[in-house]
Amino acid sequence: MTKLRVCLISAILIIASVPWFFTEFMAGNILGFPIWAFYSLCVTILYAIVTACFFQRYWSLFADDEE
Amino acid sequence: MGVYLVSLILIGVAGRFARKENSLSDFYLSGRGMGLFVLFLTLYATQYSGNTLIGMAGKGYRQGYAFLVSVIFMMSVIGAYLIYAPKLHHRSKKHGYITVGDYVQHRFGSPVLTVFITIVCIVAVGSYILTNLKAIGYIVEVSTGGRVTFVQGIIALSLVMVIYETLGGMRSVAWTDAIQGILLIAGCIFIFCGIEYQYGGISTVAETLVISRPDLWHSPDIEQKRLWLSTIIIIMFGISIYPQAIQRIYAAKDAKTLRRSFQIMIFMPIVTTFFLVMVGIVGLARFPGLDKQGSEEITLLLLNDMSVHIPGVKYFIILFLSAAVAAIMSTVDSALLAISSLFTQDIYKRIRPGASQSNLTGTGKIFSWVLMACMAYFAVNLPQTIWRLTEIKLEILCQVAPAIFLGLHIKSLHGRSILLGLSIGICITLFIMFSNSIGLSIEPKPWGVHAGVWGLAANFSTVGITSIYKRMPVKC
Repeated sequence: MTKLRVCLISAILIIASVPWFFTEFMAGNILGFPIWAFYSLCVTILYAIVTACFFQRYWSLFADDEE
Repeated sequence: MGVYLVSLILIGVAGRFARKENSLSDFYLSGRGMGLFVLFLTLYATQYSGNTLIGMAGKGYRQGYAFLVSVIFMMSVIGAYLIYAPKLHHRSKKHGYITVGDYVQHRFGSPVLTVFITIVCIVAVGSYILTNLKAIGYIVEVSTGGRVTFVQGIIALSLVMVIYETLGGMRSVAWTDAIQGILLIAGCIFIFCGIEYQYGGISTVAETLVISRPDLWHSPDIEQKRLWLSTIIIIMFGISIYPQAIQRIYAAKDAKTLRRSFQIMIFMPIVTTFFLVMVGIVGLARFPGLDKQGSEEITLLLLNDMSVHIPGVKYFIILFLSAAVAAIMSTVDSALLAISSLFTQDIYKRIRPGASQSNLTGTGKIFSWVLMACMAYFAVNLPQTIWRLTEIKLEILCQVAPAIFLGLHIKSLHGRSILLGLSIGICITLFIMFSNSIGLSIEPKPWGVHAGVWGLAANFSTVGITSIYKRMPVKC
């Protein structure tokens, strides 16, 4: 994977954490959270897991230094 | 509290005895040998300030579930490190960088750009110290029931911080940060678990709120969502390039230690930010109708309410206040050390290029005392102009981002492009923010987007356009 692709995936996850597609009042809740808040939290946790994996896997890609 | 403060000074003394040489690298970067345990805790304690414990529960109370977005605010900062920390750490080991100015000077070879970026960093971090000192004064006054006044609290704690900082430099700051970080983590976990246990958990709170505050179940409107994204951008590019954070990237023992610290750090907003926002939401269900001032004290209010039923909870209150003071002190001491290094290495060393390492270290220590005295004075007698500056620190600081994020990865980028982009970015940010003061009717956040983001967009665009079309000479 290229550096650009890693950055793009991170950016997409950050943008996706904002509940853009939830526009109306929804009375239901999941585990005590409004549905849109639960969605946002899930994407946030996904972002954390993906970023931790990126640190493990692509650290050397970003450290690669040709001055 | 007294035992805690004395122990901080003793750590400063221990840091002084652990010194290996009288050099800037040893004083400001702990000899570049920071291990995983201390590095992680100092990064954690530095990233989370007093605002975390006091402000986040308060905002959780006022904004409800919408403020859960702050969890990704803090995570995005760690995500941003992946882009630049690996390469910057590698170069700092290779070229012996001490400050962010060292990197800028080495990469772009422009003294004007280096001094400009150093001044931007000093102003931004200085205002950060100012707001945190003010918060510490309030906490001390509240926690002692007024026996120690706001002014006395600021003076006493400023004195303790500057003593242990000048005794042991980064070594004592990092060690005290480790203690403060543990206090902060323990405070967040215990308070969250205690409150959840006492008030019936997240689902029970939701059942109450869906009746009393159905508006919280509405998804935020499009303008608020844009503001969220704008805030993420400001925080991601602003906080990740704090000079004190960059110092810790330089101070890490090796790349593996730094990488592992970030891998743990990425999950810390869950046990810190998320827990505290939920405390605020629980408070909203239990004590509805508080004003802004009241909501800022929601954690204390809940703990006091719990202590009526469970006597042992008074220890939670002590833990909470200790954690709040610790969080602020760890932020201020790190910021103080960062400013001291920026002044010594990037400004004083230019004026006196022949100064010895011991002379530079001594100057840095004197500067720390002078700076802390000024900050304590301003925190007590804060002029409105300076207060306004503290509100825009991140919007200004994030304008330095292209120099770091792009400068490390694009070889052909020239210092003149960065300087032009930085100037335009700062001008646009200040113009939008202060346009009302000069009679222009421009919103402080046009289209729901921070002035700093408009500035940053112009900044990145300027760097891109000048790099492509002017075909400036390649320099690395």
